[in-house]
Amino acid sequence: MSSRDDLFQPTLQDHPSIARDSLARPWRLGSQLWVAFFGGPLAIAGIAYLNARRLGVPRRRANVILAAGAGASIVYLAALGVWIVPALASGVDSGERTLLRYSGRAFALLLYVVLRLLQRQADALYRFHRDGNEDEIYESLWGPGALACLLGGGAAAAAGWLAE
Amino acid sequence: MSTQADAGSAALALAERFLELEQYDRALGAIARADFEDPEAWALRARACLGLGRFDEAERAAQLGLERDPQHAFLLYLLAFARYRSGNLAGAEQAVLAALELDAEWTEALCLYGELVASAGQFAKAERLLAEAERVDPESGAVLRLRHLLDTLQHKGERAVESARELVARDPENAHAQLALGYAERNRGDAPGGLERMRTAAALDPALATEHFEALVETRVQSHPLMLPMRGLQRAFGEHAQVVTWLIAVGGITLLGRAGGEIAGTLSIGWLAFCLYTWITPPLLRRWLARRR
Repeated sequence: MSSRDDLFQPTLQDHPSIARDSLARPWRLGSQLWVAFFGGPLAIAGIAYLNARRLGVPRRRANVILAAGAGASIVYLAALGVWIVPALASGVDSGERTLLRYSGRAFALLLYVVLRLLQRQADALYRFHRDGNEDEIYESLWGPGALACLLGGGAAAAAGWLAE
Repeated sequence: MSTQADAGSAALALAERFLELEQYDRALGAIARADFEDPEAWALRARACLGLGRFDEAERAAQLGLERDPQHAFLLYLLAFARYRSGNLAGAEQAVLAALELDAEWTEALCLYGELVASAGQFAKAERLLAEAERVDPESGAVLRLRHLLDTLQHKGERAVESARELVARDPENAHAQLALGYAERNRGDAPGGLERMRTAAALDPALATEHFEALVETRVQSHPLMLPMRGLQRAFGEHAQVVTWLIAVGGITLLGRAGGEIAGTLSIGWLAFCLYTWITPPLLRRWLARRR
């Protein structure tokens, strides 16, 4: 088969119809930033995975998001237990304390960048297929985001308590 | 008999004229007097329905026309377009491939197929279809539109502006082209330029302005002098402007804090003020603009 014939082979036959109103509306990618900052890696990983499902991200990519989020969360919790909490408990100066406190946030922000890049194609296609302003096509992240922050912060606190 | 045929032809000619003027309701009225054994009448009816956004009716009209002439490439194209706009990508693909089987060098059909696969995220195939369409007719407006769509969906900000400029250069009186350039310039961080383009589009086609009213308001908000710092960041860092700012602030506070300087506290306060500014300013401007309206 020539490359031109190949071009005219159908590739959309398994593509689901674009149901414009039936799916749960996703969250804005930009709003996930504050979840990363206040909730840490665990919170942003959970929100990004749920959003990927809402955006209809292909299963393989959704699994990559889940794996990246889970891997980063494990690394963060391990760092918290092995390095950050013991260092804080042993009495460090204020500069060191700032470094330790903010390193987790910087890590979560970097994770957010990665997870955003993994969602952005699906987000662009979602917007392309929808009419209306952003408030109509996106769900508010206030409730789920706050809950994710509480859970993410709680898990980090639990890891810290166990490390102590 | 001949008089009846003449009347049918006149009705089709009149409908065609109304379609050119984008008066779709009138076109439908004129088609009602046409001979519906003629597939052209169904093609015109499908076009009018598409213009009115009645995609299910357009699909039905194209199907009825195809019952009379299954090899009618343009009806197949219209069927594909109607299905695409209804969200049925699989059905649209079947129809456009049938049209391309009849004429594999039809630029508009190649571009429609490119748009279909792009809208499903199959960008590599869409690029190949674009290359094929460009080979057939590099000057075609459909080729430029598909180029711009691919640049936009793939977040190629600078190239999206370039391709939109080509669209405008090809037809400066085209409101859709002006609007596309407006969006592209705004998304790249040039909201005042984008606003000017959108206003030009609105003057050319007031109906389009109504359709994109929210975008016009948002672009006015972003064009305000108070938004200058945010526009600068957007121009420098694109869609990642916000996270880059946060990373710089967090990194700066961390490093300065480690050095033990008081400046870390000042940076923290400055950053908090900047966050408040980015959070509060756009809604305030939106409210202010709504009040002025």
